[in-house]
Amino acid sequence: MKTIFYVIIFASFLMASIRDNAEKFINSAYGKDVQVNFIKWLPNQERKIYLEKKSRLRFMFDHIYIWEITRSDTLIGIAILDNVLGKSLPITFLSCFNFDGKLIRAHIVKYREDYGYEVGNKRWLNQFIGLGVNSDFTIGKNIDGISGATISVNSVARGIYRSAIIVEYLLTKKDAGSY
Amino acid sequence: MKMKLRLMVLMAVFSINAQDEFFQQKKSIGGYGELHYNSSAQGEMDATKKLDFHRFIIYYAASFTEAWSFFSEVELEHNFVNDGEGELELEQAFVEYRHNKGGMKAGVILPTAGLINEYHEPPLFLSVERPEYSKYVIPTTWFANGFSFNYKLMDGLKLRVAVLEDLNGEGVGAGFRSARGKGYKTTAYDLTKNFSAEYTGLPGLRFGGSYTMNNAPINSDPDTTSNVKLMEIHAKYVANDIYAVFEYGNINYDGTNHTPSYKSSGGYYLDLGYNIASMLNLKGKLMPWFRYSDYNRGTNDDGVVPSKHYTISRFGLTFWPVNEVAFKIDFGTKATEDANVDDITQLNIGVGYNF
Repeated sequence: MKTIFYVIIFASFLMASIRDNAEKFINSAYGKDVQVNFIKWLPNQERKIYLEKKSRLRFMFDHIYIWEITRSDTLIGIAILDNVLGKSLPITFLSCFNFDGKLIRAHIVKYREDYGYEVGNKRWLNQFIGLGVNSDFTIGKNIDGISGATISVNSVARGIYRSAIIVEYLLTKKDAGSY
Repeated sequence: MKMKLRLMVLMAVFSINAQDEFFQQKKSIGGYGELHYNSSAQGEMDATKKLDFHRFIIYYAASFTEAWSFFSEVELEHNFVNDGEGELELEQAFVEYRHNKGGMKAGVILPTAGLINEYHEPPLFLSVERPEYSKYVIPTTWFANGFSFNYKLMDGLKLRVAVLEDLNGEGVGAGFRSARGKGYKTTAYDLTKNFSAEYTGLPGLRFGGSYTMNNAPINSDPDTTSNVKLMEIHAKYVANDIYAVFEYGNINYDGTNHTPSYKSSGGYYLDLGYNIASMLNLKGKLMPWFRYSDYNRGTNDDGVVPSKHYTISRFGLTFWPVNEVAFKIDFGTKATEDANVDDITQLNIGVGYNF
């Protein structure tokens, strides 16, 4: 009976989805006394074109995962899970923003290729902390690159910038009452 | 027993079903290439001048699942192959398994030795031609049939071991560039063992090293071998508009079966550059740079053989309008310790791309 129990526990770890991994990180980024509300956001075509033009980055998929983070019914932050293209496969990343639209943590949830994986290093991602939609995300200026990971570095930087644009839009709409 | 078998099947089913919701099967094409103008004059002699599309490479890759994929690289050198001129080579062709802690490759792979052997696309190094260190100390591009296993020990630290075909012992001597089998009907008696570690935990820094060894059969005879041991370290820092590269390598040869019968060869090079694009309000990157290199292709009991000892001083300018394209110009001299040999003066101009 014990053996069955441990096997089921082990198997459940194998099944941890990208969403599960992201929510684990969100809880560590915002603290334990928060409530997290998940939304699968499908921006309309007009919104999508606007975001792609402003960030100069095409969406890989039609939907984005968003989490509203509240404490005592007050919105304290928004987290966004999105994808950018690495050399040939998606890089799935999570950006956690505070209520002012500034990044507080970033995390590479899944990196699928052999080269360029260094974008997952905490020290490299910590360079984006405090940046928002009006910040300079240029690699080599505000953000150091990674030798041998040029494609991934540029993709992730643009992706986090696009997430900042999305957060600015969402916070504006939230003030107006809805997405 | 039946219950245990059922549970194992259940685990296998769970692991198969824990699929990545953002993964899509995909085939992709990429590549790189470079056009070179080379002018080279030795002493007072007239310069030889060449214009050459040195390399044209196609990558073709396929992703089967989030863990399994295939990658290949085919290279054409000097526009076409005819009467021993030009080269058409299968430089990479491997099946890869990836896990978040590491993975493996099997097929035609690149040993981890030096910076440029694995990262050799033209926009990734400053000069028109690859550094001479990366030709005569690390025989770039060095590719071979074999297997590799890598493991992510901690954030930013990756370990790798590769087991590859034997080198061709008859090509070992002043370095082992001529000993590369390139996968062509190679032997597997001793196997080349390549161990490496790479650290990229600090933004902008890549630091690593490797150790490679092989008792290379001479003319495919496993009882008569040339023993080769290569040790190298490398560091690259690209941040805050600074570009700095240092590589050092040493090859030891044991025994007396190799020709010439040198004891070792090796050397180093140093690149220093600074991006001045923002000072000139330019888009992209513009980098003046300087290189110093000191390497030898043979030492004996008396030390470095003078005619095989080279020093290179080179300065240049590299412009990247976008990260994928680089325009380059460089000028420098190559001198030997042998006073009877005139210095070579070189001017190179080139353009390279990768995608």
